[in-house]
Amino acid sequence: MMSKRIRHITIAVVIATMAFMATAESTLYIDIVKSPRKLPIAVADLAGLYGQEISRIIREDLAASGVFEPLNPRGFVENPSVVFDPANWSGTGAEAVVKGHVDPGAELGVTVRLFDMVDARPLMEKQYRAGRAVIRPLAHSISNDIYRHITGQDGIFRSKVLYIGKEAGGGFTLNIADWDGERVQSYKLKANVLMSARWSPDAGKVIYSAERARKWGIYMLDLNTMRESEELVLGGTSIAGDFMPVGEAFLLSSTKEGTSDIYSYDLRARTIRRITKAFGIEVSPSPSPDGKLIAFVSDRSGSPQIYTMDAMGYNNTRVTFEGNYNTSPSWSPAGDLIAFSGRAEGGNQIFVVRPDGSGLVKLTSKGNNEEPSFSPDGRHIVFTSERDGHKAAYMMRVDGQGQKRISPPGQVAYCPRWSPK
Amino acid sequence: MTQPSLQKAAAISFAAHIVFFLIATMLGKASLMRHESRTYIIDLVTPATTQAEKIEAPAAAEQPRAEPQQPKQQPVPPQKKEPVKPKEAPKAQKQPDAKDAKMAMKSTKELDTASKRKDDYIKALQEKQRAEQRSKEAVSDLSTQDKLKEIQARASTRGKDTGYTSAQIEGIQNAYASKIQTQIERNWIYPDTGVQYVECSVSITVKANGSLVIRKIEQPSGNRTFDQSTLKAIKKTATVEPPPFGEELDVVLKFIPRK
Repeated sequence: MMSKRIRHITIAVVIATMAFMATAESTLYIDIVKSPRKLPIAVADLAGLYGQEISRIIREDLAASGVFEPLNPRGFVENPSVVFDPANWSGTGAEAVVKGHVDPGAELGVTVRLFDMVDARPLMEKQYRAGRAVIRPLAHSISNDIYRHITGQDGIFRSKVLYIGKEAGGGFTLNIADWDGERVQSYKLKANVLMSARWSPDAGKVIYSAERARKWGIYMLDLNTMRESEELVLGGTSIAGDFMPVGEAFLLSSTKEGTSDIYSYDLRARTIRRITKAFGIEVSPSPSPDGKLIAFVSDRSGSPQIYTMDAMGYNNTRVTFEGNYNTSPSWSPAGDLIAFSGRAEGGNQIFVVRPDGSGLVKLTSKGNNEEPSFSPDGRHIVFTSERDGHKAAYMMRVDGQGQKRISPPGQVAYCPRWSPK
Repeated sequence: MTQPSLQKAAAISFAAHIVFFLIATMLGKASLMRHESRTYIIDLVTPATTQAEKIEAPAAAEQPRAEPQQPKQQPVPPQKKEPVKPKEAPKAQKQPDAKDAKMAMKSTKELDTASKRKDDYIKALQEKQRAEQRSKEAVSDLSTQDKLKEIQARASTRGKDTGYTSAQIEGIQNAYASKIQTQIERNWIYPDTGVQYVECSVSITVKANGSLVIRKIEQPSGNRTFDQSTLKAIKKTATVEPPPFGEELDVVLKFIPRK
């Protein structure tokens, strides 16, 4: 009896083991490895007045983002005014479809719907109201919403780019344009030399260095009131650096004590604090997004190189070792990259490097390229390029793709800076 | 394939058969009590199952209801899952074991079914050989798939009784896996938004007809957009070739972003 029971138990164990093996074996594991690619999206012309123009701007935005591949609307079969039917779009290969219409009036009322092709459901339905004069910002807002719904991140289609323009007669302008270079607003500024314009963190103010009556000063323009204030006039040259991310302060380099050093200027207390104490020339300060580190240029090694230090001027670390002329560092918003201009093959080119000095990548190769500045999402860089024979503001994605000029043709433009938001 | 596999298969299946009977007998013995009434159902069932009749004939006619299941199960045990066999078997076996001298009955039956099985296996093997030849040329060929399924249905767990080596089964599964992989990969699109994506694992079931059913995200990537892209790839694919062994299949898909 006992032995039989044992046998039963043994058999039960065997069966259980086999059952376990059977289930364990029956799961198939498959790895699917793939590189990212642009998302095909169908942006149909909105029905009604200005519909075509609005849709064209949206397509341009999405294409320039590098995330989307807007499909040619010629291939669309569905009439803009009929209800969305996934069957009409399945042949296009689109992952998402944008449709909508414009109601005319004193103000345009725009209804936009974003459909997911896989789930055949609406991802977004939104109404916008805007005057006829602001069709472009309206379209950029729609692009932002589409971008956010699909990627989960904020778009940069309403961000701005500033650059300094030099007039033929010798005058200077501060120019603020949409991210695509359109709708430029120009302000004439009095100066013999104008350089190093920088956005405040709220994008409501701009500081710049100007030489007026043989004195270098740093001035601030309030973009809401359009009033300029003199912030700092020191002996020697004072060149504005970036704002600190927190607190009302900006960095600068000044030669007031001989060779150039880096200082911090507190806008509220109106006090200046010296940060670098070394013997060499230190210029171009740019704080990390968390404000803990400052990237700058120093010639202490014998040639201009990028270094980082903490906000008190200690813990200096050399970042660049390649080449003998590396300048104008600019920190990415995520803090993972520093863009800079470095001399390579006889010209200046834009590079990105990790703050620890690893992962150096050269992004440009045509003409002289300098003064890089990141977009708020860190995916784009504006810079100055001389590839067309004179300085002009250019834009590219952070991988070097999609390089294009954004300042008007023929205009001398330099010091482009992307708004922080 | 090679000849030895036939003998091996026959031998293994014969051994399995005996083990099966032993298990059934022992388990059946443990529960003598509930057998009585079943005898009445016999006649209703037997005429319907011709195969059972044939096999049953030499053996005791008292247990047709039990027997038809048995021969079916033995040479053609149900499906892949082992646990089913032992669970059902005891039920079927209970009655004969209880009623008569099971040893005698079994031996006659054994002989009979064994020879019958041999024939079956020869047929199955021939079919298998043909199928395998074709599957070498193109596993995607539907007829091959049908053959495979057929053989697999007649054979037992993971083709053990048909003479499939585990390497062969693995080969078939790998070929199948690579097809699913290609199909889903084609439909998988995720953009580079500057975010450093990490991999995401999704478990799905491939139904016997090849349709895909998402079970759950086993290991999310931590990024909703990326996770959604993997689910979309599966939804877009919708159906794949039916699984090779005619049964639904659990699959874990690991979506790995490549920079």
